[in-house]
Amino acid sequence: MKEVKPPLRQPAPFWKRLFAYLLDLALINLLVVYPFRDQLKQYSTYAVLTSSVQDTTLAVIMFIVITLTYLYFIILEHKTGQTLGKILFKIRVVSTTGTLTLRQILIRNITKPFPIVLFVDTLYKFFSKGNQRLFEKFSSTQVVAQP
Amino acid sequence: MNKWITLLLASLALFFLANVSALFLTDVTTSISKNNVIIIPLYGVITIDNAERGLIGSNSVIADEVVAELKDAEKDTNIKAIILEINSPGGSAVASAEIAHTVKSLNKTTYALIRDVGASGAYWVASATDKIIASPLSITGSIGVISSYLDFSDLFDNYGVEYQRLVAGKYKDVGTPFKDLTPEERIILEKKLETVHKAFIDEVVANRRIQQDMDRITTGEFFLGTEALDLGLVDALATKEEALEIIKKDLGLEDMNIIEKKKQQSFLALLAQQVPLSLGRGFAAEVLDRSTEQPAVRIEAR
Repeated sequence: MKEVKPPLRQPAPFWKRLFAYLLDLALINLLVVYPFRDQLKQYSTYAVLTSSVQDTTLAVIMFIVITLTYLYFIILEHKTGQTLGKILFKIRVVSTTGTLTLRQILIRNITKPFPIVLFVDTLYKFFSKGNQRLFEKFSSTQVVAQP
Repeated sequence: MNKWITLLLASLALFFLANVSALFLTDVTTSISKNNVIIIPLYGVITIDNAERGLIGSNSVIADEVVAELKDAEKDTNIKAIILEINSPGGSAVASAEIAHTVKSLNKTTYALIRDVGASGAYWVASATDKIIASPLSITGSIGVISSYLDFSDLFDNYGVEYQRLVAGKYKDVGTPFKDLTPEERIILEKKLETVHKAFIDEVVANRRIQQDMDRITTGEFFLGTEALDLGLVDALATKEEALEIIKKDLGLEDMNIIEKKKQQSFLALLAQQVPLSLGRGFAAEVLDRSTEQPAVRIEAR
């Protein structure tokens, strides 16, 4: 019987991934951060960006925003392999070992709500042979261009 | 299920969850004590913007941020009074004046709590509050203006480095560290310092209604808390804990909820501020020569 090889997957170009992420962040801001505009008014942008204020309300808002940000990536990638950014830039998440599992999606998205940590996570891709972030390597996933 | 429908449903669910959480949070925050006083820290050198923090970063009081925090506190009806917790040697005269101006414009009761140091520009800010409470051994006063700089001209001579003076306008390079100050230029600089000093004194006198010992107060000398009390520069001597009790009594509150806006610089926060800033402005300029972006002479109330 003739063996059927899976189609070759082309890794998604970095610029597409970056813009897809920025687009997702914009949508997350609209969906998840905007509803807290009244509560956030009392904090300066500087305080929010640097988390330099020790305040329970701000901590609760941050917790909710981070949780919902996780949910955004996890639900969409689990159900469709794509987020809004990925759909528009025609890229998708795939497993390098077979079917994409929830566990893999949880691991690959750990750094997503934290841009600075994500930046460090992404640096790995420039110092390794593959085209994966460090947590993509851990989760055996990668982002590929759609045919 | 179509990916667009999944995206729409997920987005709606998240938006709904965020709105419900926001509503719940509003209920929680409005149900908390209305007898709040907010402590806004003024720790470090007073500056106009965070560009003056430098690459390594240091504690500094950025005028725009403090002004924004003061205005936010003014708007919050749950806040009864504003306490500026000061530990600062002063800094930019303009930044100090801006903060002081905002403090005076507030309709809420304001206090200055001077911890270790509340001198010069920081005292300028403190004087704008309704009441100044200082630690007995704190350093305060120092009502003077400084604009000193290092003169490298002799050092350059020793190494055969020559300052090529190309100016249009004979006083354009007044205060450059690369040449000696002429007597004429010195007079110009001292006049400007006098102007700022007078503005500083006028402001403090108006704010504190000081009438005695003016000659001593305005020499630029710093005073310990105990001396400052005798001179009328502060209203009470107390530790922080005692000061909060005094304020509670002043406001006639049985219970007082204290909101402390503490600024803690985490490593990541430092990265967030410094890396983009430094990269944007050019690493070399940041490390080697920040003077290119600043006027040769800086007038500081410190």
